[in-house]
Amino acid sequence: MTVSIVLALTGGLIIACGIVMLLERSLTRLVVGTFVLGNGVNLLILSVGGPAGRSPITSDGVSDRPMNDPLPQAMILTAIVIALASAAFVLSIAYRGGRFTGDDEVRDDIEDRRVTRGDHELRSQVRAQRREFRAWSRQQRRRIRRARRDLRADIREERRRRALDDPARTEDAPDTNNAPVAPDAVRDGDGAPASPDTTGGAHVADRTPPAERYDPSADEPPPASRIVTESPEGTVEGTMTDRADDHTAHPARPPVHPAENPNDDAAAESAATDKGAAGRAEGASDEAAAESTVTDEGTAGGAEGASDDAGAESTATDPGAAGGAEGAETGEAGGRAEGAGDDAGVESEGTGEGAGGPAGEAGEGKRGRAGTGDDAGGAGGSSGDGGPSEDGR
Amino acid sequence: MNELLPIPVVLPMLAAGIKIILGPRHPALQRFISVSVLSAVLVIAVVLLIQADRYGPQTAQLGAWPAPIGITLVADRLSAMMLVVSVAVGLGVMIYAIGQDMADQGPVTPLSVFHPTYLLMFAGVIDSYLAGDLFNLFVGFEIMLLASYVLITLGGTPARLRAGTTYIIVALLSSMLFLIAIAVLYAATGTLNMAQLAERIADLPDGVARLAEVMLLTAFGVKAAVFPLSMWLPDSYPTAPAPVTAVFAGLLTKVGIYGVLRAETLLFPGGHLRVPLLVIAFASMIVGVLGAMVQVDIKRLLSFTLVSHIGYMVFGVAVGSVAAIAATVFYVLHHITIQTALFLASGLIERRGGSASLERLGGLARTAPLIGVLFFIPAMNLGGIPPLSGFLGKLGLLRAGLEDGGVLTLVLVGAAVVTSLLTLYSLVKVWNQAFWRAPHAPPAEERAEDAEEDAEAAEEEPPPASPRLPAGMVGATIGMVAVSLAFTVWGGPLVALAGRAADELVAPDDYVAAVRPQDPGGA
Repeated sequence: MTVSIVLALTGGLIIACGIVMLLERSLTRLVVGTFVLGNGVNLLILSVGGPAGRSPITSDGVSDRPMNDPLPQAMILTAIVIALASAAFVLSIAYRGGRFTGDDEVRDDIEDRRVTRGDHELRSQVRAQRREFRAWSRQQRRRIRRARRDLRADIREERRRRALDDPARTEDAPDTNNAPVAPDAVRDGDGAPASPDTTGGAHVADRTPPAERYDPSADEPPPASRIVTESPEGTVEGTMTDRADDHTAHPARPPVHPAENPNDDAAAESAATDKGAAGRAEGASDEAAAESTVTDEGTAGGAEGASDDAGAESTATDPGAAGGAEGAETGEAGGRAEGAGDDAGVESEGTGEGAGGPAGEAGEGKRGRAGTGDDAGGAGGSSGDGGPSEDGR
Repeated sequence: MNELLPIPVVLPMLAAGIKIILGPRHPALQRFISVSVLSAVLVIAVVLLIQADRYGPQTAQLGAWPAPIGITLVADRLSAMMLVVSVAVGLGVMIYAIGQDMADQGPVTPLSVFHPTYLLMFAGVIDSYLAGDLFNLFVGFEIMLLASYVLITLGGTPARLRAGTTYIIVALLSSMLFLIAIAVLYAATGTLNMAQLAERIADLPDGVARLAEVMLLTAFGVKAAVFPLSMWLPDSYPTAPAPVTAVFAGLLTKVGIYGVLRAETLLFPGGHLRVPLLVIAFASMIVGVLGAMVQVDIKRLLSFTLVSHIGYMVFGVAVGSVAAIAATVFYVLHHITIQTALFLASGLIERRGGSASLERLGGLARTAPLIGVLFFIPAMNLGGIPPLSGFLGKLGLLRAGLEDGGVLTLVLVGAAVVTSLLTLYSLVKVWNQAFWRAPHAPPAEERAEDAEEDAEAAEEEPPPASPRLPAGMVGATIGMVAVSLAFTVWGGPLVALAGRAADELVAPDDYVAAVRPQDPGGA
């Protein structure tokens, strides 16, 4: 039996092309590669059938030319059908994976990458970096809080002064609306799960009735504790790690929580009901983790990447961090103007939102989403903690 | 002509079709169909084994076309034994899966897809074992592989999709290589019937025969996960649901080893590739067990030990003497049962302890002593502790290697002993950390971070940790461990049966005569 060399060589060439395409990362190209590979193999099988002849049908009156070999043709048909079914299945997998991650690339195996990078050192490195960053962000928060406290004291002073001048004056109302915006927004970024909105004022008004908020005559707890209490309730970042860590790090905080809980819960929840995402965020941190992977753009692949990358890395690259720096600035210079605080807040919140998408790695994703969850100006405080972990603080 | 032969192939396919028509309705009827079909096939397989043992290889010519022209189904002792053990294991895992489904039914493991696909996979496995020609073997492989693609990506979570993609592309490559080998053999000999091939390959020039042999062994080796071709297995098996991993580990790799056995004994006798096979066996054994030693995830650890013990089987095939083949056959059969039992037990551990990672397990010996026993017995079996069947199989292999006596063989005997020791070490490590030590709570920060990272990695909800284990799951695991113990209790008769199978394999005249009785000289 003589085999046509051209056919065999062509088959080999097509097989080579198919294998080259199989080395691609994109799953669609992989599918095309399997088709090409299958075609090359079929061509090879065809070449095995020998030279062309007449069709293998026995009946009277047909010519005497030799019959073609039907067995390779049967094999080719079977192989085509099998390759078709396999490729169809791989395409459906590519589509399904694409709905999770937005592209159809084949991800690296996370266990392989862990092993190659040295799992244990990496984990301790990651933890050390996270600890560092938490310490830094705690320091930033303290500074912001002090600035806020001073600002509020100033505002109270101002109001008292004005009230003394003109007790019947009602212009305080817009002030009380505005005044909370900057410090509140700055603060609320931490705790508020809700409102990736940009409308700061109306938003804040939704969260708690202004009358309830700044009542100078009432015994309101010091702003520090209010911030503190709201953060765990906020549960934006479902990051259990950070909250747990914070609780152990600041044992002084928990006692003030119960007093504030109902108020802040209502506040958080009313804000939370604005957005479905917020409501979800208030759920278990596991859900947050799972959902961030499922619903956010940067999910599976990003999540795997993030779990290996140190938190500090992503914060370094995170626009949220840039927004954080911005926010810290506004916090410290908070005394300047509430209006300025608003604008800065909107800005940093915008960048927080932008960061929330790409930085959607599950762990980091919570922070990113915390960034988006900030209301106007709130991003300042939260993005100060910006990237890794606890906005829960 | 044995009319029973086509039934084990066709019955699961018919049942799968009926179940797809039934759809998600009548889950009780679906379960009943699955269990009854697998039980019926098991009974038929036992009958086939008895007939094959008494009367020699059983054949069936489909469509009454005579042998080299038509499709032949052949059940000799090896095929029938593997059939019996595979279907028994499949039945056990089906019961386990039913127990698990009943406990946590949900969108992640839809009932209506799992059962038909499972039965189709078994139809493919059975077809592979009973195939009398290479192309039917290829088709059986493909049926089994396509069904396994669906099973490994069941639920469609991102982690499973990723692992499934690895598995699918590697399997597709191996199928293409198998096809090319078939083309080469058809071009060289003009036939694909294995009995006729056995005669005609002997007349081939050496280069062509080696080429075909290497291609076939590579294709089977990818499926069997021997060392250079094994990296897809620990990547993809652990992410599948527990019963799916169990049945894959127990069955699919063994179909590859069955292919290697057939190729080396029936198609290309003479041991021309002995040295490469010995080297590959050595590498599989050592690399597999070294990989297992550093794992912290139980399922990954067991996947690596699977690769390692495949090396044992390739070692037996490479040595090639009757004693070695007999020990290999016994080892393959017993390994199916204990690897499946170990994976089922690890599924129980995961369910009871909430995680499959050794870092987070602890104290299960006190809280779940039954699971401890169910894990301990197959673990000791895998590690080769006498008097269990693992010890018997390894003893047979070592003895055959020592009888053979070449330098490379002795090196491998040493490697086999070392591998057994390291396997024992890995499994004892699992036992210590998961069962014996006090419940281990890493600091909250570490644990929470680990959970966060694992949640990212797994991208699915962790299995619910529940104190109550469904009776189906526990019962199936007990059954599997009992079957593996049967290899110990009835070790003598089973070793003798494996010996007879090896006699038949090494001298395939009976096989050829049974397939083509009218043509003793070859056409």
